[in-house]
Amino acid sequence: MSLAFQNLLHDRTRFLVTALGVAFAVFLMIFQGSLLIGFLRTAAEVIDAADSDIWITARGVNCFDFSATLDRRFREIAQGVPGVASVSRVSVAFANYRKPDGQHETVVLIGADPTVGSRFPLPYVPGSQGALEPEAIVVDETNADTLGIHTFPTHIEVNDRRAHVSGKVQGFASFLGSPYIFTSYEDAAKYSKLGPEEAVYLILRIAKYYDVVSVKKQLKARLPEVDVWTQDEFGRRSKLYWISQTGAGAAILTAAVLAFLIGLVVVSQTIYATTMEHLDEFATLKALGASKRFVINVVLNQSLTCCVAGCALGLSATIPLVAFARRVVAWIYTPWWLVPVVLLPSLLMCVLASLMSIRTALSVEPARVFRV
Amino acid sequence: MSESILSVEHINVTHGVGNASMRALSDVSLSFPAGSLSLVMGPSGSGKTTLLSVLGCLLMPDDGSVFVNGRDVTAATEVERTTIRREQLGFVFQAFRLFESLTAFENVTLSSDIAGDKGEQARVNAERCLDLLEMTNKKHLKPAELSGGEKQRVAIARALMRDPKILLADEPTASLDSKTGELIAGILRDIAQEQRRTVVVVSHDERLRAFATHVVCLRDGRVESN
Repeated sequence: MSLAFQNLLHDRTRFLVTALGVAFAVFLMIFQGSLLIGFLRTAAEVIDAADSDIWITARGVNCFDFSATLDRRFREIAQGVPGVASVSRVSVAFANYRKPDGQHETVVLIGADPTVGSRFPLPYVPGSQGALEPEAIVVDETNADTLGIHTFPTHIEVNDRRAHVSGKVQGFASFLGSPYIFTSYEDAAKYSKLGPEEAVYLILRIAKYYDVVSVKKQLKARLPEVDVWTQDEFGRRSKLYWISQTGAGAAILTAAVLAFLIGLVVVSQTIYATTMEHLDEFATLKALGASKRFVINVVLNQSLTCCVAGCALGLSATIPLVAFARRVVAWIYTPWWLVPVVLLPSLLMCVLASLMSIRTALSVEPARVFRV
Repeated sequence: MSESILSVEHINVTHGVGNASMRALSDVSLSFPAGSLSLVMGPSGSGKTTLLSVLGCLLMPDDGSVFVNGRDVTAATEVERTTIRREQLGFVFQAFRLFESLTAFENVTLSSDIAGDKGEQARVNAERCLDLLEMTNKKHLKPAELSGGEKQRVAIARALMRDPKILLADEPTASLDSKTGELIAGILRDIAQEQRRTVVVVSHDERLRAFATHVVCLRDGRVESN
């Protein structure tokens, strides 16, 4: 067994403290990263659920949740542009939701035509191939308690109009503090008193063999009073708005960046401290004639062993803790790639911290072995 | 006197710079023949440890020459001096400098590990060195489980592992009781006389005079008697 590994095993407390330091850093980075990614994902969640190529919005709309209405004529003009295969309507508005027990809750009411795509949460009639149940609403499962939904159907009111909650969906929690509720476009227009000549978003599917960018260009030319975005552009715009224009987004972004930096500093610090504790041993190795390579191997092996143990410990703690946090923060999300994105810099930091340690270990005066 | 294995010629060593500088060794010339146990004595600050550092290629003099097995090491590169330390010199320290995480046996084989020699021969050598120091039955113990004398014997075994012609010992008896100190001094004398190695011991311990073949006294960085 190598000297590096023996040293670590010998001082188990120190090893555990170092590994815990790395584990804490890994946990911090993954948790804050999950919050940030979940936040960004949620910011464009409804947009991404639509099976569309192009979104037409009122001028200056920055995100899905805060919108303005569009005139009906835009829909008709858009339909006339070559390459546009279909136009669907989507509406979004804050609404007053009355629970079965009579209490009120502010919600975000989203309505859409069934042609928006099967991933878009709507109250489909089971087995009907896209028909929507009238006056029916679906909610995200994480909001069911908040909205007083315990069985289906549950009768409620939206803006003082009767409706019933017919089912629940997954993955559409909102960070606004007002839950999303989903219904057909017609019912949404009725609940939010949207005029028959109005829509909030027009979402377009482009016909086969047509180029999205060139169709978008034509639409912009024909509709100079509105904004025309590809689906990806509108999703990015929405994310950018939430992350840069709101306090919540900025706070989460700052926390994630700080967590990352603090995590890396903690990793470096703990690794460096471990090396400093063995400085006399490095002096002895040098006095006994150890080559630079031998000393570097010892330091690097110690650092990487601490780092690997810490990362394993951190990951094993993070996965259940993130799952637990999801009960409170439903939109927290840990994509698989976040783990390597955090672990690789952690390992890199261990190596960089080792380089500082190696420099110290190599520069230690071997003659200090004669001091008592 | 037989051939000189280790010698210094007109060396000067200064510690520190500017007003804080202090001359640790002034125009020191000494030679240490094979098969001798040379005792370097002197009061604190006389330059004993500095001399040992220079002899051990751990510190280079400001000027003068240091010969190890006939080679002037002041002209050698750092890498070459490291190789000389590894292959031609053995060190014994007052504070033992054993690795607490390793067993006695592993501490001894560490000298071979450092040299990149992990073969069976290294294990055989380690067994032989421990046997020579009568430590075979405690080879699986870690330093914390050994007495001071036992630790020093392991340290001597480690120093002998690469079969160096020169053994440099810094206050090897200072951390030991008088009986164990005499035992260690006897071992060092035997190593010098029976194995024809050059042993240089730096010490305050007057009792070691009885074991030495020649005594060097330093005072204020100069050779007072030789």
